[in-house]
Amino acid sequence: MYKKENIKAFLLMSPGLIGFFMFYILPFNFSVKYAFTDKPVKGEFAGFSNFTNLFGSQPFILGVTNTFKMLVICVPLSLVLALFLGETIHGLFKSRKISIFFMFPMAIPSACTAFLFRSFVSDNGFISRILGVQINWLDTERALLIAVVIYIWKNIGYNLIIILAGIAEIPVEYKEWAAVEGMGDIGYFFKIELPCLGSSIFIMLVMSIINVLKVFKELYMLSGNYPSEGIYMLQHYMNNQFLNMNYQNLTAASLVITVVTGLVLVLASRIILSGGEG
Amino acid sequence: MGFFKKSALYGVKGIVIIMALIYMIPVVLLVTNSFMEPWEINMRYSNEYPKYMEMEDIHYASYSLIPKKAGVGQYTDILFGSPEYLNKFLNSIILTVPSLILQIVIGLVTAYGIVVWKGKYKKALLSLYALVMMLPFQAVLVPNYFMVSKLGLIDSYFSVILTAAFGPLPVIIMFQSVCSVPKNIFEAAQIDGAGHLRQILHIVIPLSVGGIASLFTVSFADLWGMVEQPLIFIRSSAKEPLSIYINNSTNTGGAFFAAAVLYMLPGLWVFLYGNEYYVKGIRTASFK
Amino acid sequence: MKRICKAVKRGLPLLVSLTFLGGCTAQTAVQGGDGKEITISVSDSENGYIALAAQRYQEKTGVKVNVEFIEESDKYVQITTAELLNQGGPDIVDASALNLYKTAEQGLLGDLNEYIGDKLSSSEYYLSMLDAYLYNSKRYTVPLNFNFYAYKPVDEAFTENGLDSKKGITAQGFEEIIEALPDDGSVKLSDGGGWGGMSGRDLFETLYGLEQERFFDMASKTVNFDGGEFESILGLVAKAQSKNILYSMEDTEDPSNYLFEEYAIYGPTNCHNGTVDYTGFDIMTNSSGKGMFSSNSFRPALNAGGKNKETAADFILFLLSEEMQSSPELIFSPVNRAALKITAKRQYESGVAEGYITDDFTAENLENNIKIFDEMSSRLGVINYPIPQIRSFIREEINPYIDGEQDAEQTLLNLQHKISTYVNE
Repeated sequence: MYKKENIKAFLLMSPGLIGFFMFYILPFNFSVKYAFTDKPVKGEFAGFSNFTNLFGSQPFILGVTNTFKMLVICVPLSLVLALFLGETIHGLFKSRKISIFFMFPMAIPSACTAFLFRSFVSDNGFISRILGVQINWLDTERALLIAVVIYIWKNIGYNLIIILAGIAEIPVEYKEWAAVEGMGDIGYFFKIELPCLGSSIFIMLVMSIINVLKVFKELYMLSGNYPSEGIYMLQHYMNNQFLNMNYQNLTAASLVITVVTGLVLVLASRIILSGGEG
Repeated sequence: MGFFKKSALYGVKGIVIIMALIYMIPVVLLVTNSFMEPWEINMRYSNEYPKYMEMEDIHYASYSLIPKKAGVGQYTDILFGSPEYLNKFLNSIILTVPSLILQIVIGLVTAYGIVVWKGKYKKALLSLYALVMMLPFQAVLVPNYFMVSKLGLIDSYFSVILTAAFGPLPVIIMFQSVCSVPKNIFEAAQIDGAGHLRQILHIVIPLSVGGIASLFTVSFADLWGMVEQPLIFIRSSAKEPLSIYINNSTNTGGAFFAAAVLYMLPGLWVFLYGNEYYVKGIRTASFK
Repeated sequence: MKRICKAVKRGLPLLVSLTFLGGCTAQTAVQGGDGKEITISVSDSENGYIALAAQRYQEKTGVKVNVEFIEESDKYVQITTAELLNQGGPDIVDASALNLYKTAEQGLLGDLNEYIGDKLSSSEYYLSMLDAYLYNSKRYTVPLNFNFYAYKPVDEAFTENGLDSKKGITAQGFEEIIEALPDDGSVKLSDGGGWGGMSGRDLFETLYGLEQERFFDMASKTVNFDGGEFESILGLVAKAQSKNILYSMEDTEDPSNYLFEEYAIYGPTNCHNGTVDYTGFDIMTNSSGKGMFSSNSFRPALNAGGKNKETAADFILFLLSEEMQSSPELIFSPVNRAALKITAKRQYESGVAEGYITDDFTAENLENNIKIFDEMSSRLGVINYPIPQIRSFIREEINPYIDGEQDAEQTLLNLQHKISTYVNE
């Protein structure tokens, strides 16, 4: 019976899998080929030279460094914030409608977000006015801070949705049982709730990482393809490579990113997911 | 509850409320500013106006929640000035709605299949999905384009719809949702003779309402605002979605804020609609 | 709220089926392959010159030429990039919107020298302008038209300030000129012919543009904005500003006393001041004796992956031919020497017929102008802004500098960072 069920399961999966492979996996495999040639059209095999060029390229290193900084700051920050907000909204507020307030920023088009933030941070903006100076903060070393603020403002909604749905799915009985067992609120939180939220946290992790990469859109609207050193991200590098048709660098870079992200994911899933199935 | 705990809880509640308000300020600004006449927008935010009029050396952007002169000039400009805006709005709907529906259906079915499948490479498959989700779009864009053009879909709405429908995001979110359905429900159904997997779907769907709502909301925000894919896959500007049109400020000019507000409305509706379903998620989860 | 939700829920299936029906318009891309048909994509909403050429070429040779217009340049770049990388797309692309050097480096453009190189001679064309677009000795594109600035020294103003107007105007010579002028604002550098004289930005673009080879080189990936030379150009502009010899927007009157007349030249009968006798005009040259020109409209380049390269190259040659270049559809000046004379005569005749060329400009003046124009054009060889991206960097940083909002050091550091990122990516 297992085998028959398995086949049926496989059949159910297949349309989605086929589409996924056709539009994403297969083309990606094609692109891997490019990472090892020296020209995008009629190129010759170039071994690992693209990769060595990559790591020797100043812009690439700059982009990686800045993106890494963003990740290290924004991801934990937004996870913790989402957990905090999710718990408090779920536990302390009768109606969950207040969560909508946090989701509004998601709906605003990037052009508007960029416009609003520009009017805050430009040399004739709000912040400059308060401090009595005339500085375009995007050109300073503090530019990364601005990117973080934009990120947290715009993207907390994504995580909030997921965590709220996750918290809502924890059966109420668990809490009653914990009360019976004499566990305090804190004990309940760490020993029961967090493990149950494991898969939600995992998804939030993935979404947060993706959204760090997506903040490129707003940064692009604010400063174009070549912003100041503080906020030149990996995405800028990749996008410019695309615009310059430097396909070898583009695919080599994305291959590197894929491998690194893959490792991070494997690690994260080991830690987080296996806890959740308990 | 002790005094400290109670006041701490109230304090926390207060913090959350304040944060929510801070988050809303830009939105409120957007809405109120949309009722200003275009010339006022220029005066408040633009750098050039005062220089031209030689009013001040430094002109700071002046915010106001209340327009100097309220009017619906921006709205009339957009809605009645030319059919472009509404046209693009319709295009956005054409791109977003079918994509969402397909995403939900394909995502649910595929995720369900993965959960039930007893194969060796389950975790590997999931990680593959997560991985692809994180790749910057430029990496897959040109091969995507290659595939789309081979299928003859360039300049068709389907190019965007299909690439969105088979994306990794729906599967990942649905997987989490299907996972949280207690296993004993499945076993009970199987014992009751519901061996046909399709009948099991009747159990999974009601219980994953929370997950479906999350997918709907999150993906809507993505699809409604996507710019890069339509830019490459769709050529004729008649089929352009609103997200591209609105991001080019020469199109909207002074009516910028009104354009943004109208653009935001479907998103807000989706959030309100979806919110009801998270609540439903609690109730159905405690069903046995 | 709930009622709205319910209504929408019911209408949803209907909406979905309608949208599915609406979305069912798939188009397949048209591609030729047998030399009987070629495709061109143009980054503009329309271009009468190309449309006319397509029609005439078809009449002449029977080859069908499809022209595709894509209006926004961002969109053009994205679409063309994707097409070129997939070895598909049009046979001829518009190099004026693309990044010529980077595209060429990826091997995506064909070398015109292989097909029509021997047909380009300096007796037929203003070859130094065509050669300005050579990159690594390969010819990836050719300009179809051009325009430039010329200057006429006012002899009295020169002698009054102890300068020699016979020396010719060079970028290096400018330092001497700026030093010599008084700082009370009584003399301005130029009058601009009533259209506003040389502003700070104009001065900068001229000085920088002529010497830009010294500041960056795409082939060797060197970027040199933080060396002393760029700073000295910035300093020169600042000095000119402080001496009040430049034109700025606050000036409400035309300067009564200026050093030279400045003209934007579009042809022998045609500068934006109307029809003027060109005697005494000259171009500004750099240390190699070359002058600067602009060519910003459609510029053809071969798609290396195209299947009809020979036919396409032949069409490009047709675009450069006397027949096409002398047609009134071509804006600015043709690069084909014979066509230039034909166009000049035609413009003269229609000007006389329509009355805006008056009696004091005779046919002899025309011949004289043609000769001087021809002589000036032969010495043009520096492209104004060959790389659109670098042009926008420069404008981004120079505008605040000219307005006094950014100091020289910050300006050149920003430029060094941005341009070296760009060159090194």
